[in-house]
Amino acid sequence: MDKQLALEWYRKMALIRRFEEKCAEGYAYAKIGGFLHLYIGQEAVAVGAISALNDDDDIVTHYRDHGHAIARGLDTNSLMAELYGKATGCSKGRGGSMHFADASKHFWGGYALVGAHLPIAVGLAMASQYRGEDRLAMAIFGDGSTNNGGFHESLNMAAVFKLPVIFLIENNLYSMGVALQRDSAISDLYKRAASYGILGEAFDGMDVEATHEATKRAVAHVRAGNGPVLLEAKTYRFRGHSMADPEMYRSKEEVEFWKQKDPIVTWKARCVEAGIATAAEFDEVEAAANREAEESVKFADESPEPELSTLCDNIYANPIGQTDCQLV
Amino acid sequence: MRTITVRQAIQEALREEMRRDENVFLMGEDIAYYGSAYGVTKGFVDEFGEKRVKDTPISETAIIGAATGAALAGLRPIPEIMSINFALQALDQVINHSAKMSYMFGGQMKVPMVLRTPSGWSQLAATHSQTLELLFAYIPGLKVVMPSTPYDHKGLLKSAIRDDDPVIFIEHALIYGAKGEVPEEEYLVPIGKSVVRRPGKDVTVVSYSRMAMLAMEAANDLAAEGIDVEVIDLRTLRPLDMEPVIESVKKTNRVVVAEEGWKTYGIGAEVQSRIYEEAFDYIDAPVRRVAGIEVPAPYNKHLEMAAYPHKANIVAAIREVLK
Amino acid sequence: MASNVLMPKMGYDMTEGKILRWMKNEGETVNKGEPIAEIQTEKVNIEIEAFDSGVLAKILHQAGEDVPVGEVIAIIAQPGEKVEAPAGKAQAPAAKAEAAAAPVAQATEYPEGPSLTYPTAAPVREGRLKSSPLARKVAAERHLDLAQIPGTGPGGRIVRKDVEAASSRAAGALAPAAAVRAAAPVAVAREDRPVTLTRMRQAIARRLTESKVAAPHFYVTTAVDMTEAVAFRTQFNAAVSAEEKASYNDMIVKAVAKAALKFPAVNASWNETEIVERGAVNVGVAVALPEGLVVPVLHGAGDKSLPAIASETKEIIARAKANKLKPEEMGGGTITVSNLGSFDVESFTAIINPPESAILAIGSIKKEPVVDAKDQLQIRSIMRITMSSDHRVIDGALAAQFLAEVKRLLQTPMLLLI
Repeated sequence: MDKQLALEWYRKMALIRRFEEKCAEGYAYAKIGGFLHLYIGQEAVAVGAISALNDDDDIVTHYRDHGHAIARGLDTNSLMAELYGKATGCSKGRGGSMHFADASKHFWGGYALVGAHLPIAVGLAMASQYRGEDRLAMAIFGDGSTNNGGFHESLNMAAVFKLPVIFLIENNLYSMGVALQRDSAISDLYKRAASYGILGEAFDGMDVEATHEATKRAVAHVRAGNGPVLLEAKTYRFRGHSMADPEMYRSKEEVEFWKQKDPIVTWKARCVEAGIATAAEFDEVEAAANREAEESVKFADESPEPELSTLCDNIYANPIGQTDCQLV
Repeated sequence: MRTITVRQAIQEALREEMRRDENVFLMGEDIAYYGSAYGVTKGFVDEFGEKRVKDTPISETAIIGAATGAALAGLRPIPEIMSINFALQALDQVINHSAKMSYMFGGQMKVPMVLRTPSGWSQLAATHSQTLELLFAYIPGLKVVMPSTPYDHKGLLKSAIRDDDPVIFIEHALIYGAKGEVPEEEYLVPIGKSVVRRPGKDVTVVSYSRMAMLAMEAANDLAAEGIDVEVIDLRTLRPLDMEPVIESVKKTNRVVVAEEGWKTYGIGAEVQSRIYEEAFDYIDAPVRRVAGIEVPAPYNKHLEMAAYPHKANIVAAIREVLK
Repeated sequence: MASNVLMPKMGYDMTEGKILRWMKNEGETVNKGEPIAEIQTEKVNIEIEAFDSGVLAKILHQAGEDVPVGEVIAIIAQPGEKVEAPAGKAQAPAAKAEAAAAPVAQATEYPEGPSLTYPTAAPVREGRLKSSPLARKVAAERHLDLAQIPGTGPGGRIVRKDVEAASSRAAGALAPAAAVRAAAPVAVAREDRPVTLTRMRQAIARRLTESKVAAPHFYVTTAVDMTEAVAFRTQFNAAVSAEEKASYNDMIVKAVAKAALKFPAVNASWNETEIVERGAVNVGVAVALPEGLVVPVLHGAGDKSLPAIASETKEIIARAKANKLKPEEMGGGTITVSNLGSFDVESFTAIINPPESAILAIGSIKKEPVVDAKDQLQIRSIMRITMSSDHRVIDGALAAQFLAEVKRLLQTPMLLLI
């Protein structure tokens, strides 16, 4: 295991964790509005999987998108500013928590309708294939999406067209508050790949290395022109579905059981034990990550609100005449 | 000048733009080897190949979602939805994705996609006979085009393909065979411009798509009686260009709005409101609406004919406002 | 460094929370991320976490209390640190800045919701008359030529009231389709003297013609026995200051105002589509001037005492005679009293002062022989009041009841003091 890579994964996971903690705080203080879905507990999935992609591979994700944006390398200042609804936000304060995006980084956005964004990844992959580019697309979604029509339509179409797309399920065992076994006919979701004659694989999503390796295998398979792959990360969220979740549907014991598998804690322990890096080196990396997350709050706080005069901007790329959006 | 049908005009627009721009491609159910349900893309696969004329599974969500994704990546997809009634299965993609991306992500993305779909009816019964352009015209972020003449179909479709925003291009199955003059040389018709189809001084009829053609026929019939009807074809439903309508109202002071869809909350309701807001002092009679009867389309031919508006309804409305 | 624990926002629609229980006591150590209390929102019960480590130094809101989002509920401090309970609602801690924080960007002014402006109506070309459909309908009914009617609506649009005003204007200004030819003047020996019309004279002519044409007048007369009122007035005026001394007219105004409070249907205006019963009782008092007539208005007369009415009326009449009335002192009347008592008149009928619906014409007080209840002949002071009513608003019986009330008050003048 390469030391720099081990520390970098750790830095990213720690950064996501601290960023999300600051989000919870910002939400409690009413600085952040709307819905807020925290990624705490699932950090290994975003960091392990996205680190196995090229920087220009396309990513489309769901509304629990903070971890993926950070893993892809979006600027944390612009992300916190987006949560604060500020003009300096990655989506200029128009999107909020569920709609992080940076087109220049091929991070095509968080989408807020369960399972509805999978076809967009299919289309991005279609464009790569059309142009003969070596770029693949990754759609990240939750276990709940697999019971939505968009999932079936997308996997089938991608398989029919042999598109370079990886479908990554973040199976955190709950569709909001409904346990997997209560809403899915099968609990091993990767097995659904068989319906489309494509490769399916499950792995430990609490283990950043296992996630990375599984994704790397999928990437190789897809880039070789074999069509799509369905990956299933077995993971767990330590927080509620969103901020207003009293978590009546699962036991404290279950949460504690999964917390023992904390992807950040276990990665550090494993690397220190294997002599890849010292605890002090990990702590130093973590402190820097914490500082970055905390500075993003300051940046967001001090950023300007969007000008009222920009209310109608960007409804169209090519506005015709006087659009119907008129600030009066 | 040569005369061609609406169907040929659409085919010409698609062919010209596909030859012009490598990024333009078609996708949809049965558009390649079958030649599409209404024969519009017949023979295209022979010229452009499967890559650019893609038969898809029957998956409206995936068709429009994938077209949106491909458009994000810079291609110019033209997904076809076999019937506007099937677009309901893709409405989530259109309304929640295509229409929102430019705005919701702060202007860093665009979706240059044209969704082509036919509307129409003729004993197809309730689920296959709906007039649903309003569902799209209601949504900021979309451009919605519904032409009547072959000339406009060709010119507007070419503009739509070159436009950087999602355009819903709605055809009408009952006028695919309608003929009209179309020049040989290349031209474009701008999106968002209504047109005075026929000048007149006594009464204004505002319409679009097939009803605009019926309005022209009604105007010709009434001309024999010395009634001079001005016909305005909206052509684009969003953004709605009211300028020629207001100008016309100033001249004639009497208006009929004709649409095929249901009256309540319809396109006519919007046009009427805008006239009252912007040209109140020019109205000599209430603005009358010609629209469909608010019923799920019946299969029975006689009942169906009673439910949809025809030329006679436009003529009756014109007489009413001229009283 | 101490930090505040606030009632957190735990959902986009949460405005306040109830503290269900504290999971830590004052003085106990807390760790960052540890649950310290359980709160209840409208939807759920939820545990809240500490954002800082330290000691739970102070609990400011106990279990069972409802606390608005953003209010301080506890303080976490470092061991040994002294803490003060904050006053009122604390702000969320700003980002911890080491150096002086950069100035926070000025926020834009955001309006609450769209401002209600509407598209400008198209400017109207020469030759087309701006008129509302209703105005056109009324003009057609009354055979009027719209082109001759000035419009007062938006942008000069002719609206219903313009047509109505025109229809009641003096003949000649407007040629009705069926014009009535004036009779040829009769020759007279003396020369005519043309008198230039003053603005006031024009206004009187216009308004009263309008009133007489538009409002169907009818008249009800009653004889009021003022014997008691005469005695009362003598007593009353002996007891009050000079400016509070009441005239008979002041007493009549008071009686009319009290009666109008009792019969709001009389204190009303006609406006084509509805009758508006006016909330205030504002009594107009007609005052004769050399150049014409003005009607200053006693606002809120229904709620004023007799001394107040007396002093205010004196003042207002003085200013009317000096031409110093403000426009608002001549407007807003709801009923008018016109008194010709000082001119030795038996009785007369007055023209209603629009938009009012009634006017009371007061004659002189004269001693008359009266047959009493026991068929005895008595000498009493009698005053006749004739009420003109707009029949669109007031029916005969109502006018009679109203007038009977005025009469009762004047015949029992003590009632004017309550």
